Amino acid sequence: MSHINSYRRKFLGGLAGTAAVATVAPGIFLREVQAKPAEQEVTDKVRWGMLIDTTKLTDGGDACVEACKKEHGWGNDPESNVAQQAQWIRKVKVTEKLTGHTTTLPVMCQHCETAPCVDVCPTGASMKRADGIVQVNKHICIGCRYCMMACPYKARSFVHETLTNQLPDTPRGKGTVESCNMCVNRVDEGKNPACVDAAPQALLFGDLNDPQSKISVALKTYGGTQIRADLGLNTGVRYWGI
Amino acid sequence: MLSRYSKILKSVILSSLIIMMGVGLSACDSKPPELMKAVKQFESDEIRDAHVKNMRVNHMDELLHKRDQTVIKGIRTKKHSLKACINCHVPEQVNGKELKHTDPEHFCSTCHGYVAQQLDCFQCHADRPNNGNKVSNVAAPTDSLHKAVTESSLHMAPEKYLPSEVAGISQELKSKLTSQINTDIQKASNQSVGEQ
Repeated sequence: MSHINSYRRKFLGGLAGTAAVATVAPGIFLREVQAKPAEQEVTDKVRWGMLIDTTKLTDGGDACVEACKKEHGWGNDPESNVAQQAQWIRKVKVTEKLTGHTTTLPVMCQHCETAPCVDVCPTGASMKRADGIVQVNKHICIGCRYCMMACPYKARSFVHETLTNQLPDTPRGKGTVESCNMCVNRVDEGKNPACVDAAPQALLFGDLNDPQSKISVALKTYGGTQIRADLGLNTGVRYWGI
Repeated sequence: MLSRYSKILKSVILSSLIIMMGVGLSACDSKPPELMKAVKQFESDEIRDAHVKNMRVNHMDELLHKRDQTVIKGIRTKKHSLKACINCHVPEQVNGKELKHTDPEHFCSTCHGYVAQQLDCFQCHADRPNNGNKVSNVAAPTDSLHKAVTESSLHMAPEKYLPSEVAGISQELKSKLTSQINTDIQKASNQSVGEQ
């Protein structure tokens, strides 16, 4: 098989493979996430991860961004300029110079195993939960923004203005840094993150430590790309089609 | 002589101090402010009284303890969770108006205002149930959301979105590839079961 044909086969195989993995019957999506009892601590037996197939995101990730805004209530900071506004997840368009081929992908916190933002935090506010979710403990965040500089994915934002009417499950406030937290509140309840539910044809959420989970099988069979894999951060978010 | 005078002086000072303290204490006699009624009904009055007694003194410590339990360890029981406190103690509306923490009638603000203690929780946290965002009022999915969900069967038909020269492979080849992939998946999952 020539190089091109093997590429083509892998590409089509990837598409058909996810069809087989992710679809049971039209309209029914298997839930990967099991609810843990509310009184139980999170453990490192699970590591939550996400697989994003950019070739199946018909809108390039708009639905994910909208769902995230709705779930966490960001996207309403009129006093801040564009560079300051909160961005938990955003669409990134990549164009290859030679061929002009463009890919659009949603980029958010990649939930690194060895997260640089956790390393640099002077107060321990930037933290990784036992189950691999990286988040900001805003109670002890002093807003120094070291983590924003350390993050290679530009995933974090700083709240520059006084907020009102925050949502009960997502406390946000001026003077603290924030980012995608893989919807911890939903995951702890046994739900998928909001973006996964918004684009179930392209996003898969599950336990990377469980070799039988759909995400592990899919990654084992077809692999998955990390953004900036050269940094060796072992990200929890993997991509297809980039 | 001197010692007698000093004794008298001492007793005078002491008695005046006691009188002053008495006057001072009687001035502190005012009642704590009236609080809003909570929604939750306790099983018995004893349980309720124990709850009130404990929370009057310890609510700040309980909340501080619980916040670390929740954020760091992911423990999400309702006991001592700020959200559960708010849902029970703050009504959704009072006289047709939403109650914010800046209003003195708000359950937390009544006492915090009375003792002039700053209330920082609500700079970030919701100060009323659901924070005015009624579940029934949540807008319908946006167009893009709707599109993404309704078009979720796209991956079943690659010819719909792939360039024709790629998608236009023969039916035979397509089914061959699909079956090959299915066996691959089966193999991979069998292997992973075996490894366990």
